[in-house]
Amino acid sequence: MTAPARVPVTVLTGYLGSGKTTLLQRLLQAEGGAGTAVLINEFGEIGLDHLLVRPMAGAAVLLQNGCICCSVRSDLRSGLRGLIDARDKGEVPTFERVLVETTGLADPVPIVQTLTMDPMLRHHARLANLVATVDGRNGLDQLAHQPEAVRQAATADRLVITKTDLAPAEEIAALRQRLAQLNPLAPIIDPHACGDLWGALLGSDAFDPLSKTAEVRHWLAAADEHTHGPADGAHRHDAVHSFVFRTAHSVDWAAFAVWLSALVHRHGGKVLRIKGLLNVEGSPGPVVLNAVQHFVHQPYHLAEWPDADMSSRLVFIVQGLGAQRIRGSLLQFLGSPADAAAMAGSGER
Amino acid sequence: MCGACGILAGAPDWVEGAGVGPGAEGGAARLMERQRRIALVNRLLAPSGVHLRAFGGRLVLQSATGRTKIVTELAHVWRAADEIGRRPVDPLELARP
Repeated sequence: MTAPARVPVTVLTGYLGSGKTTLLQRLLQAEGGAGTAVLINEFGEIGLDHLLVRPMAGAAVLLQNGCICCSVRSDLRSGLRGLIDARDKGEVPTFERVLVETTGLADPVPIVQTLTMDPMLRHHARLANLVATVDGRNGLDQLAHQPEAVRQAATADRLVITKTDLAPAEEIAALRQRLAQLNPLAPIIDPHACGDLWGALLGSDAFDPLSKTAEVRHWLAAADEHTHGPADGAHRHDAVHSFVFRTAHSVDWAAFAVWLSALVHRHGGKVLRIKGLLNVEGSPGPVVLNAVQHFVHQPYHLAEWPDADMSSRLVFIVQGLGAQRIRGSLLQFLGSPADAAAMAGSGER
Repeated sequence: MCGACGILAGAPDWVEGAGVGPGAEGGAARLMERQRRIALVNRLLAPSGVHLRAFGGRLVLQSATGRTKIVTELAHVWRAADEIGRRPVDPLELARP
């Protein structure tokens, strides 16, 4: 007997007023929306009344299209556990995925940790994508002044620019540029121009066996673009920025893992994302690495390389940490002090 | 999950090195891999004055003042070292000239 598949959980975040609820409504009404359970922080805020049919057990309600909506005031862990338990007991209709809507000021990482560290949830649920909405009218201002907005955008797997019909095209273009700079790994989606919004946000992720190779290809394209783009410059000490670590040498996995473990222990709050591939000594295919702050997802092996380039490539999105310090430290620890020395004096911090 | 990945996944036997690499088979090879991984950790622990060693079947951290802690998974090593070491472990110190 095979174990039941773990239900994918997508986390929807975004700054206050950035259009999370509108996006949620649109997703639930999309063709793929049926069979979704939604967990939200404050039920009264979401404005799904027109979709409601009847209340069910606890705080859950059944929506017209068969989705379940459930309010969670503080404890996501118990909310999600209760929902899965109720499904298994037949108290609520079965669902194929869960969407968690966070409050506008939330850091999504504790949610990631809840999902992946909880002894019960880790066997029944898996993290899919972190989706962040960014306000097309006020996004640039929020990214300039609100640290929470920056961290939400920098940690996301998918970025959605909302209200693109209400802002001048040049502002949207500037926002896109800023987001690509903050988070080169995340596709930037305009819901007004996207024919398959459901597919773009929920249809594929890095842990779905059917889509993980395509997802990794996207990361590598971002890494290549970054590598051949403008050189890393000086950054304000608290600025979020990204860079690529690349080495043509195969990597000693034990050394890398020890170093990474220490890095996220000491600096996890500043290491917003790491994604990429490693050419590991003795491994026939590449190892996929995906980390969010202190949390490192279970690495996994790909059977073959997604492109002809077999060098290790990791994209780092960090806050207040210099690219050269990280590169130099890792190369030094992996036993490439010559490469590390060659970087010295390059002008990077 | 292979043994190599277990290093980051909080596996208690992370130091054994099962899975990828030539150390996957044979007691002697496993012992060598165990010592190599402990040495890797000790490179990062050195500035804090803390040392990791295998003692019987256990992993023991010892500070310069003789304080000790038994640890299991790798993430515990850094937390325990911060508690008994003279300063926090920071891998980025390796990059300093």
